[in-house]
Amino acid sequence: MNTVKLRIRRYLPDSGQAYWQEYQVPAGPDETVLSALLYIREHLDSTLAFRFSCRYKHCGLCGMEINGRARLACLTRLKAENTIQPLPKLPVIRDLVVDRQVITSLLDGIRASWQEGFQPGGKVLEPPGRRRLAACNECLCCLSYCPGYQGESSFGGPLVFARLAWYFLHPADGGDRPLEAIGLGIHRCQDCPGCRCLRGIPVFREGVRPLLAAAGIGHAG
Amino acid sequence: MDVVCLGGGGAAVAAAVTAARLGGRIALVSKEPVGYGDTRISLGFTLYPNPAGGDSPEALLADLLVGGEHLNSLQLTELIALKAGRAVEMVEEFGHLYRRDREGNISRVVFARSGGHRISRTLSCPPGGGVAIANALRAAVQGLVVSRTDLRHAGVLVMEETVACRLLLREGRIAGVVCLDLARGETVVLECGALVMATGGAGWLYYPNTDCTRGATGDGYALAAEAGAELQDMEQVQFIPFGFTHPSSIRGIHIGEPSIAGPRGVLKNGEGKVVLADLHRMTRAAVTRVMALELQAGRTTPHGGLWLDLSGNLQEADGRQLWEQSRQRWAMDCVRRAYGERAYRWEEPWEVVPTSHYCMGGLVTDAHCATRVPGLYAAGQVQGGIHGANRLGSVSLAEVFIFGEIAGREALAFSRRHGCPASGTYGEEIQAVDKLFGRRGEETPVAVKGRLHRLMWEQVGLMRHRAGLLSALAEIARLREQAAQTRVVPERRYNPEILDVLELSRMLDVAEMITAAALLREETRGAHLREDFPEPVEALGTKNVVQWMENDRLQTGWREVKAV
Ligand SMILES: Cc1cc2nc3c(=O)[nH]c(=O)nc-3n(C[C@H](O)[C@H](O)[C@H](O)COP(=O)(O)OP(=O)(O)OC[C@H]3O[C@@H](n4cnc5c(N)ncnc54)[C@H](O)[C@@H]3O)c2cc1C
Ligand code: FES
Repeated sequence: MNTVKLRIRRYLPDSGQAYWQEYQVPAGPDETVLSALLYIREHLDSTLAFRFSCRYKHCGLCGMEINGRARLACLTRLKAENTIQPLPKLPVIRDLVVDRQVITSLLDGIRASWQEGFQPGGKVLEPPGRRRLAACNECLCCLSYCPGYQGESSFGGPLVFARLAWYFLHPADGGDRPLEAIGLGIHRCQDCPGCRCLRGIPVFREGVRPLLAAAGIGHAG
Repeated sequence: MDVVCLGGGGAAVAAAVTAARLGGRIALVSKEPVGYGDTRISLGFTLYPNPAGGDSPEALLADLLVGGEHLNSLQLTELIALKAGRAVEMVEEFGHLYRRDREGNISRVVFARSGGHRISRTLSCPPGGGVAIANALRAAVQGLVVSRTDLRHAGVLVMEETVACRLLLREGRIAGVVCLDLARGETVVLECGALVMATGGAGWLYYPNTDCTRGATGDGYALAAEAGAELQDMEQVQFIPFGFTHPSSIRGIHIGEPSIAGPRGVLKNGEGKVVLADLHRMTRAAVTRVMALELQAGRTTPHGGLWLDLSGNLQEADGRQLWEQSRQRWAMDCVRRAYGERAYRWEEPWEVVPTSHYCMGGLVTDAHCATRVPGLYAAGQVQGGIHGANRLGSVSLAEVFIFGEIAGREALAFSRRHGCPASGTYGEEIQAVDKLFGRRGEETPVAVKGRLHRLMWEQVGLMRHRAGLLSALAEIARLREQAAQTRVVPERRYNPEILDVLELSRMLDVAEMITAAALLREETRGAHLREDFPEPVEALGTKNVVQWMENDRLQTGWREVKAV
């Protein structure tokens, strides 16, 4: 068993202290950043705050910045040295825990409305793109890769646009999603090369582009 | 508040949305964000009756009762058999769409029929599985959100990452709940006319030998029992046969249930001897039983499991098709990652170990989801009785919506009928939580949690016996003392130790329930395996283990299965 080093950004909101802390953790070859964080919590320092829930790629709660990139801790193999910070662009609550409220309050603004006659369980053709968007696990990592998103509430960003498109592409959607997309600043996506999703969901192709087209905003690509 | 719904998974959201749509003022209080919990990480397989395939409520009921070895509470099982189609309808109403065929009709193509169902009656929803359903839950709530300043209107006040710590009673009925808002570090009292408990199961007691999410610490069983509710069948903990043995970061993570073995998959012990063939139609309990015996005898693989050998399937055309389909399942990429390319192709066997997955036991309710505490309702995994001694695949995602809807509606009706109890101050209950911050002590709560996890797996896990259960009860009492002496840093905001200490005390309560129930049932039935009583005892086949609190002490006894 080898020992690896983790350099972790700490922030304690009660005192306002922010600093780097180093931990040495024993780790087998297939261990992940999440298992190292759990080791720290269980054996070295139980005050370290981070989110996780499923331990393997499903829930999306363990998004953080690992060695300079936004990743899921439970899917990232440990290296000899690891630098870990909270996801960028989002307010930090404590240590590696960011405030998800910024995104959830945008999502709360989107409301379902089905056209009359929509029959749950009945005959309906779902565009395949919508099914892919439905697999978004809200890990928030896309926000760190988005060139346009800076944490402001006037711009939706990939996650919110993916969700908006999930409504828009429902065959019985009764909302005015292009108008909402414009309200959320989708014009900023016009000249963007595209979104990056850790799950490989084609957010731009299946989500942003149809919304742009419906809103009458041209896109070069 | 008319109704408080505790939880953030399918059951809690179904209850909250139902009650809010009926005009109720609802609070949805969830330890994790809304849409999290086991609902989110499920595979999304949902029960949907198949009349064209010969299905009927009677056929479904028969399968559920046989699967549950008749420990089921008949009126609840009948209800789910009758209303089974409602779950898919609700989830689609929330915005999710199950897979369709080319014409746009619901598609019934599934990977494999899960064990215990004699008819194929399950829908699948790749690629998102439970995440797609969870996103629809969030969407359903989104449309109804009200803010803290807007409480006079119908709708849902969402309180995420907020832990329910204590139910409040007044005039012999539910009056509210004390919660801790983790991010703010503030205790909050929510007063209400009725409450729906929908906090999910307790699989995390067995961490890392579990495929459940970290919030599944059984809080709801303990909170409700403390308030006076009864529990049933707590010894019935489902271990799904196939979980990963290693690497340690994914120990216990879900690989699948018996149906994934296909027609020619076999289980071999560590010596390479076939211990089970033709298992793909068997129930989870039946397969786990065979595995537990081999593990007990020490005939294990290098990482303490058995070999699941699927290579036989590759010899036949339908088996290869099965492999093609199985590749779409989310666990398969994890198999590749953990066990390598040849294992992924089924050319090499996998090491598998049963992993804690679901609690069949839970709160005793009537067909309105009402517990015996006036104003306290329960739905979802926290509710008992529906599955008896064993749960069949895809039925949980039906129960959470069907009973969630009933609980939401009935709780609101109760609240309207009786109004909210007079307002109280509850200083003592708030103080009990507040004083935990900054408590001095020897060790951390997470260290005691670790001891409890190990104890549950070793003594109250797959295979149980009297001496082990008795020593577990004594050890739980010692761990309680240790838990009371743990230290907590004083910081208020998002203090992880405060969550540890709150969960630990609930986990200890539930550990005691499971152990005491397991001790009483001196037979092997369903998911409950006794080394010292390896056979079912006929006289116990018509009895549920029932538990309740009396003067702060857990009581355990028998009751005849409710035949209606
Ligand atoms: C890996 C896996 C795969 C599965 N696949 C399937 C499947 O394909 N089909 C099927 O039918 N079933 C499946 N199941 C089972 C099914 O997913 C669950 O039984 C079901 O989703 C439980 O729903 P629930 O709403 O009762 O609880 P959960 O979805 O677990 O939600 C419980 C919620 O309560 C919250 N909570 C807990 N304690 C507190 C507290 N003190 N205060 C406030 N909130 C609290 C939690 O944070 C969580 O949000 C699977 C389970 C697992 C683990
Ligand atoms: S812990 Fe769930 S995605 Fe990492």
